[in-house]
Amino acid sequence: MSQSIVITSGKGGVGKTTTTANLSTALANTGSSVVAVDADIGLRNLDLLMGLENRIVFNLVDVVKGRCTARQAMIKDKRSPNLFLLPTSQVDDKNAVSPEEMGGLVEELRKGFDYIIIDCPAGIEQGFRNAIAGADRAVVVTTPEVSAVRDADRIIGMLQHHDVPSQLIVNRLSMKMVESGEMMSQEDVVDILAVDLLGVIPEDSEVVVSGNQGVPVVLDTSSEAGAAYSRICRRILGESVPFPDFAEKRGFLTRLFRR
Amino acid sequence: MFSIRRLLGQRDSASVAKNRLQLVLSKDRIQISDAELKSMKEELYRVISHYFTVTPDNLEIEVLTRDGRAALSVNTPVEFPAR
Ligand SMILES: Nc1ncnc2c1ncn2[C@@H]1O[C@H](COP(=O)(O)OP(=O)(O)OP(=O)(O)O)[C@@H](O)[C@H]1O
Ligand SMILES: [Mg+2]
Repeated sequence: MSQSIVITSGKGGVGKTTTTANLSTALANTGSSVVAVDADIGLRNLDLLMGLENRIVFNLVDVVKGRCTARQAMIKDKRSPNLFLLPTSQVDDKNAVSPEEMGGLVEELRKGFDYIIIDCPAGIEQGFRNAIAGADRAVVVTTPEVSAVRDADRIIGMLQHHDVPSQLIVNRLSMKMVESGEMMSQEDVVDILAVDLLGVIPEDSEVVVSGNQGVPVVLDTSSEAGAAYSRICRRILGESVPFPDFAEKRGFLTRLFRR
Repeated sequence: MFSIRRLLGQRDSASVAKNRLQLVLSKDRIQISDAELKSMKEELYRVISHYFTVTPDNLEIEVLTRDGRAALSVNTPVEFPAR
């Protein structure tokens, strides 16, 4: 049975595309067949993070408009034989495609793949409705900041309204700041949003380095962010992976002073 | 590491963030406009004040969500009228 998962957030720049590239790569490396779909029409980025920007011929809008087949538009990953990217158009806008068309595309992709991972644009408009149209479930990405959490709450409500169950990733957590009381912890965020936690990604400069190189950070499991993404991948596969959650690193004094 | 600010009795910004979010989300989740919320408050105040002595400013309206279900909660201190 194939599964379609939309990676969404509400607020922009919190790590959706990074998460899409990493989870797609990690899932493909476990042997599943995966297609990563860039649904951020007009702001093409997923190809860059996967290092496939020089191979694009056709895109998602071409497929939906019948100008080519999905097979023709998909690009095979450089490293993993089971991983494909369906890039988006850089010249069209979000209204170039309707939710019905996106739903149909996802249905078609189900025939060829175990996992369809959809990178959603920021916002709550048509681009969001397109991206969730064919999704079985959603991964909501937030950072532990007030604006991102507020927007995540709105998105979780909208997903509920569309009967799409959601799970949460807290990205860019700095344990040091949590310990000094200057950043909300993952428990705080989960408490506020009342949603199931799928994983926590620490703030990690390796994410920027991997973006520079077009090599997803999950391929470097010695990096903290890479290890966190591979734990999340195993949770998606149904394994129950304990949350190391950096919390046990908390010192005695912190525990003493934390209410 | 612990915060020197906390030792000095100042609140850490993480719990400030959490409290502010909880308040703002309880309003967001009602999903009605600021004007509608205001008029709902006024109507509720009018109804409640038939039975109790209340102050409009003390009337708190929140939507609490638990296990995917939402509940409207109206909270206000009341004074029993002298009978
Ligand atoms: N865990 C992390 N540690 C450090 N930097 C990160 C982390 N996650 C994301 N970033 C940085 O944040 C920036 C935004 O990430 P990304 O493009 O994945 O966000 P997005 O949600 O897809 O943005 P948009 O809404 O514009 O599509 C990038 O520059 C990325 O390198
Ligand atoms: Mg993006």
